[in-house]
Amino acid sequence: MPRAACSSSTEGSCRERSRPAAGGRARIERRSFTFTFTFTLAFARWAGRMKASALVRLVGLSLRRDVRGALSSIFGVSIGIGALVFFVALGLGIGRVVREKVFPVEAQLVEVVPSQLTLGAVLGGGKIDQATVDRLAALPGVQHAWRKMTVRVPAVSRYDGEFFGSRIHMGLEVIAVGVDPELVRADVKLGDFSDPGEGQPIPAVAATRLLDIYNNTFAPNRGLPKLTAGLVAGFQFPVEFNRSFVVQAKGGPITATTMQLVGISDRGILAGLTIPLDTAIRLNKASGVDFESYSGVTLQAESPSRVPEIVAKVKEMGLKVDEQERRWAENAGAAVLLTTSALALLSLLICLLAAVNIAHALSASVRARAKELGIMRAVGAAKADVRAIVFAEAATLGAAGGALGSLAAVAAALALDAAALRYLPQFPFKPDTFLSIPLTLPLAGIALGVLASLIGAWWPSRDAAAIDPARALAG
Amino acid sequence: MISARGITRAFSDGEGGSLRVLDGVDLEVQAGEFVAVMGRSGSGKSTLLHILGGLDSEYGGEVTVAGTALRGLDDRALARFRSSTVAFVFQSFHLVPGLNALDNVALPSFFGAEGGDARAALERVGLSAKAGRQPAQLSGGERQRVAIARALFSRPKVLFCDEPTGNLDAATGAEIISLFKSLNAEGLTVLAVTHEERVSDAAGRVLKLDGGKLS
Repeated sequence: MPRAACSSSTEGSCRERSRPAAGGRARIERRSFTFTFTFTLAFARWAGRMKASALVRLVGLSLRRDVRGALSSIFGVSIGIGALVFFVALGLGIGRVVREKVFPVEAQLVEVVPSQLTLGAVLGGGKIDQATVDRLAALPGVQHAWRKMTVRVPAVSRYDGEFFGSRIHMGLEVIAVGVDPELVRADVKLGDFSDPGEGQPIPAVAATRLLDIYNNTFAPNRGLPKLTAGLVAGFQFPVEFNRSFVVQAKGGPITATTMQLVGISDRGILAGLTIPLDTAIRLNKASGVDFESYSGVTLQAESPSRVPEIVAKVKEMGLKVDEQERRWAENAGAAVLLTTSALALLSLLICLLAAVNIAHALSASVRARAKELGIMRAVGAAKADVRAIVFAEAATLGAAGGALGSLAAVAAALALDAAALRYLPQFPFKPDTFLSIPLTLPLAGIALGVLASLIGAWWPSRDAAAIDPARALAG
Repeated sequence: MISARGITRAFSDGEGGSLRVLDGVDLEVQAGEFVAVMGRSGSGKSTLLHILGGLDSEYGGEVTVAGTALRGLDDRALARFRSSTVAFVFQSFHLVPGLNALDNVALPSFFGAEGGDARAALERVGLSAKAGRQPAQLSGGERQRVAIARALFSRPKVLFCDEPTGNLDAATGAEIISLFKSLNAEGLTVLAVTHEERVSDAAGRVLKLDGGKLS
């Protein structure tokens, strides 16, 4: 349950690649289906003596008599269920975009950085050296420890040449962070992401989000082509270390080299390029800056549930956990959840009103059919049979309303999605779809429609069962 | 076949008091009898019928029909009793609109009554040709025949008739009475409550309900 582990953690940079809320959603769906199933079983027990075909015929007979009333009830349920399915689908879709594109945090990863406030040699929190990394790697529950080292001198890229069919001339500040290759190796498309040595192009990995921002903001504004992970692999550009357009460079020599993009990764740093750790060490050493302490360590927990324990141990070591990304993800997720919940609540209120409408309609129907129900009692219907008839009518209305509402919601969602994709301008993280409609969602909509209708039928069914056949037939 | 001992039944008079309609009714009906219970309107004839047929449980005394003691039966058992042991024919026919004649006859099967043959029952009352007709498409006499066929559907042991000819003209009423006599002759126990002498004339025994007592 990645989401639960992440939420329960007050510390730690919980990164989640998997669908974090999937377990929770499945649990809720299981519960709602269990409830509906239990309700249906109880209903079936009531209807036990009646043949299903007889029930269907009597329900059909009753609904045909008041088509307008039936349609009104179905319409009410369909509005509530339709709104609910639509808003939940939208919430799931936006939530997925936030989780997978905007803040693709992985639940098992913990970002450790040096504490700004250090107690010196007592706890060793001021900097992260190899001994500290070893201690971190040995913590219970830690599967991997990947070191990170920022290239501690500024760097720029001055590019003047062909850029995927366009000619550009520009200069950029470059931030480079070296990482243990295993951290991003799965996303590397060229080579093995190791230090190539002096004079060779430095392999670099860009962040997926950086590419997204380029494609949807930078490229359109400058008339540059859109790029894919496959396209950028192999692209080379010049870099000069220990040179800057904005800050004063260190006193050491300027190292001119080239970088080669070798892949795009969710694990790449957002504001810069990810390079092999050994390269960062080499560059720092050549520039005469600290090349022994690490700027951070990414810990991979054995499972998301171990994260809180690891975070606590890290803090005991006097180190700090970078929670910024997790907080952003949590805040964005909470905002989406809150909005979705509010809209879902509104939809549930509509369902409740539909249930009340059904209660009124069925009450009127039961009163109008008192004699007919009396006849049924006279020829062998038990109170439970009469109750089952009313429940079956309600369930039919609810199922029809739920199905209609779900269908309408899916249709509206698809239409809105198509319109949004077609007419909304490109923007970073613009998804392929704004909605997520798992099959269980419309099914749950139908189940909820039935449930709301059965709730609405509760009192009318009691009234129907309470009809005194002797009095009804005498009257 | 029917044994009723000390039957009492009172209704609220709407002013805080109660109105005792049946006041210690005793009744014995043998299997195969055709008994008519006569009395003025409001004398409690229908109430007695409802009690004997298991439609009304709010009474005092003891009732046994075809060996089944009704006191203490739960709702489900009473329903089974109504669907298999007894049957009713009412003055107002009480057919279900929207169901054709055949389905009206088969209505008890909707609630678990088994072994019935709706077509045979309709044939028995001479209406097999109108099996597909809706109640509104039938005459009063035909509707009552359908109601009788419905009563015969589950082969009951006792047929309770509540003013069965009250809504029929003389000729049609005579046909229905003739049908009852014929059914009785086949061994069906018939108990009819009526204020019409043409019905009581057909009965083998006539009882009078007056002042809450049967004589």
